[in-house]
Amino acid sequence: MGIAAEKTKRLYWLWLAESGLRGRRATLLRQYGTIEGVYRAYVLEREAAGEGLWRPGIEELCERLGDYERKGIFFCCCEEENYPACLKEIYSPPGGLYYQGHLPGSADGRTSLEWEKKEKDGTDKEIGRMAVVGARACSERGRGIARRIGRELAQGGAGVVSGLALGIDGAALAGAIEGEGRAYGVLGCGVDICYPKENYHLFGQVLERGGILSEYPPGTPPLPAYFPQRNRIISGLSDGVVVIEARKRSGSLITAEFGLEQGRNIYAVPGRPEDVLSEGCHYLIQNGAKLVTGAADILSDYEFSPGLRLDSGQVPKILLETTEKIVYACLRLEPKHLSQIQQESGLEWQEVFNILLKLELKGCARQVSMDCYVAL
Amino acid sequence: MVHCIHSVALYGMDGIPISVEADVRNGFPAFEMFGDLSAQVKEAGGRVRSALYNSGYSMKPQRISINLSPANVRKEGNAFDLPIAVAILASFLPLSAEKLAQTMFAGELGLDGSIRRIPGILPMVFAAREAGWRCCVIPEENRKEASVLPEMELLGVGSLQEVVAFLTERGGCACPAVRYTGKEGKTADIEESEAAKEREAAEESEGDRRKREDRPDFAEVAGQQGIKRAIEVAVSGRHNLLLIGSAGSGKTMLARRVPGILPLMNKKEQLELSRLYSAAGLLKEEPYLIKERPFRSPHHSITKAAMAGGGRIPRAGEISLAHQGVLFLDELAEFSSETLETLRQPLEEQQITLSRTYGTVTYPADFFLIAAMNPCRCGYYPDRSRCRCDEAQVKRYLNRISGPLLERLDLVASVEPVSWREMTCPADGMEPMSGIETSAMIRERVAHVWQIQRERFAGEGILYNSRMNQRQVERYCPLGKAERELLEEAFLRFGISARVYHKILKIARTIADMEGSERITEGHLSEAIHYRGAVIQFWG
Repeated sequence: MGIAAEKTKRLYWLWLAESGLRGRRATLLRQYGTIEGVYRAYVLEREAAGEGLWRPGIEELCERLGDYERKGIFFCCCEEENYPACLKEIYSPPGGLYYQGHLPGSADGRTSLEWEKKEKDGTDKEIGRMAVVGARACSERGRGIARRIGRELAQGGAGVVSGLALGIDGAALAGAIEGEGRAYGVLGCGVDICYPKENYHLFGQVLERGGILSEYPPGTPPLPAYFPQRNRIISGLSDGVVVIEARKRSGSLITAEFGLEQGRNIYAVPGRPEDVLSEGCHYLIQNGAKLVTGAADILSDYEFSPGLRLDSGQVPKILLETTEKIVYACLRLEPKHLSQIQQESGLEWQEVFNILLKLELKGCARQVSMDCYVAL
Repeated sequence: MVHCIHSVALYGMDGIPISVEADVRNGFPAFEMFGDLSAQVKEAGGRVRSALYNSGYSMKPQRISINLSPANVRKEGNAFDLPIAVAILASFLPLSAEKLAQTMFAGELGLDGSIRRIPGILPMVFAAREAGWRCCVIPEENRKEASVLPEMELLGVGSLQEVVAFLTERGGCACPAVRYTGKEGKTADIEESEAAKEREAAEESEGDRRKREDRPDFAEVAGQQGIKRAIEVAVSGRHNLLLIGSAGSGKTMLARRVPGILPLMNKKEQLELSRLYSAAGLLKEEPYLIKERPFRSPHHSITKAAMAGGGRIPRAGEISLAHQGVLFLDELAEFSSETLETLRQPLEEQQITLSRTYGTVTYPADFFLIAAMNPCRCGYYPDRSRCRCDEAQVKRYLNRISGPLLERLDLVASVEPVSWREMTCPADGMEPMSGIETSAMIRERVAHVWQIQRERFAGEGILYNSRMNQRQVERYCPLGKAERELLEEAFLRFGISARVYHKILKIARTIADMEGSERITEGHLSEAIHYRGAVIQFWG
């Protein structure tokens, strides 16, 4: 197929993605055979019949594509080579993907120099990808675990795919960036919209180290209806789905379910039985998901090149004084209130204040909300 | 002959001496009144005529002109009925000119000639004393309220006849309700009354103590050691306090107990507060001399005018009614931002100046601000089993409080729900009842710290650590090397602003004072940083 023909095809798919017929893709293709057939049927025939609703035409689409590319937004249709192969095999794959940065598993002509060099060295080889998802309103403990697993996965050579939401999703991506691996964010809005805006910084980092993807045209606002659909892309792009902290009936379980349909492995991190944030994970485990506590449990299911460094639970090499150790021992990954720390340590108030402040300054503890501390 | 009758116009919590003149002469029958009068005062004419007639003074159809001078002061309220009636009476009855010249009149008239209570009697009597008048003729119902002020002769009257009896008779008066001490019996009477007063005072203090025992006490608060400590620090240095805690954790309960640990007011402060309450018409029952510090807790739907004070002649708002006491703003985030912004000036200057249609009034507003709010919209953050607010929502909720207001809330502390163990602790005998501090014990310590501050700031024009300016902070809060380093590290780590830096030093000074320490140690400093640290991190 010539380059021109491929480009025309891309334009047809772009037309489909932007025309509002996105959801009826499978039916239309069955009816008309090819995407070109669909385009002709709608734009040429229906318009000729007086229904002038199915524009834009090819020239306009071509212009629009150029506009996007000037903004750093690219479009890749499902008939192109760099379209992620794993997406093709899922039920109802997106007809095309808008993206900034890079597409997962692709080596298209636009990779940055640094990336290419690393790829040649073999230091930045992506073996597989893992979806790491979880609650937006997560606990401090969950955030810590997500970050650690993201980092370990990256160090183990797996890319991390997630939703760029607050909470677990964002923390996992941040972990992957820390581990200098690849990170992909799949959005439920246009790729030019940073939602939620609190993740602006992360957004930029993910762009550098991976890509931002969406099946929705640029400028699409983040509507609740788009997010469950987006989850099928998250699981579809990955070899497995890791769920950390999910309530029952949450978006994370939808992602896991999509993953199951698509034949992906499902992993779940357990929590305390009485915690509502563990309910979803425990449900998955009861139904056969693999219980994992760290990335090693996940990576052992896949082939990965040996010799990868995988540090297990960094111990801070900071010297603490005796009283500091007492207070530090009282701290947990769950937030603990000051008065409880004081009672458990048995120290004077002022000493507790002083030590907590010092621990905080040393980076061993963090105040996560009013008077509540966690160990780091 | 035109007589000049003294009265007082209420103006904020001050009274302005007013002279009421009546000119009664032959001519076309009329009743006219001048002197920048409000509708309330103008109505007095009708009441006065009926009251005079029903008291047995029938008047010939004559031209009556009433003038309230100075004519450029706006007159409002119902206190001018009595002086107008007396002015008219003076035109045809042989009243004692000597008594008229030395007496202030105020009261509302009924159509039957009875004399009824009026609001704001205390500031009027104050003004009468300042004007140098010796006696006040006021409604009997107001007499007790006014008797708070010593060295003033008060005549409580119930009807117009009693007033006439007083003004026509020589010396004392036949009416039993009257407590007028004339020139003759003065010394003896006063001695006697003073002895009685002392007895009364002793009895009252006994009653006060009993009342204080009935009041909410910190001894009833189980556990919550951390927050109690924060409250004591805040009270000791008069640092305004923000309590953050989930619903039902006891924020309101704690705040209600704060007036009880503030040191007792002195006589001057009691009088000022009573005057303020009298002017606001709130001094209706015992005790007329307010000895307990007020606790005002306005609902969050309060308007700007009700909070700061308002009206054509401005009346005191909640912030002034909380003068010398506690202003508690529960659900701070629900107050309209406009209302909260009005707090800024009074928090700096301890008074509020209100300019309205009929002039400018200054009310004192030296209140101790306690604000309370939930940690998030649902109220349970960071308890994840109940709270589903995400971080952005939590932040958005906290950010409803404007930065400038937050800066004036010096101490921020969290209230944790009481655990079962803490609640049942005394019963289990794990901590004996005697180990629990009562409000009186805390109050004594606070009074001691206030004394330390008073001595330190003698001649500086301030009383509390929280009021120090930058120069004074540098002078009174010197730091050692270790402390300086700790502060510097925290400064860099948390991104503390210069203003917060000074705030932390002031709080540290208070904590050091509480321990009687001249030097500010690392412990004091880290506690101070703690009370301010949360704000730095969660609002930043």
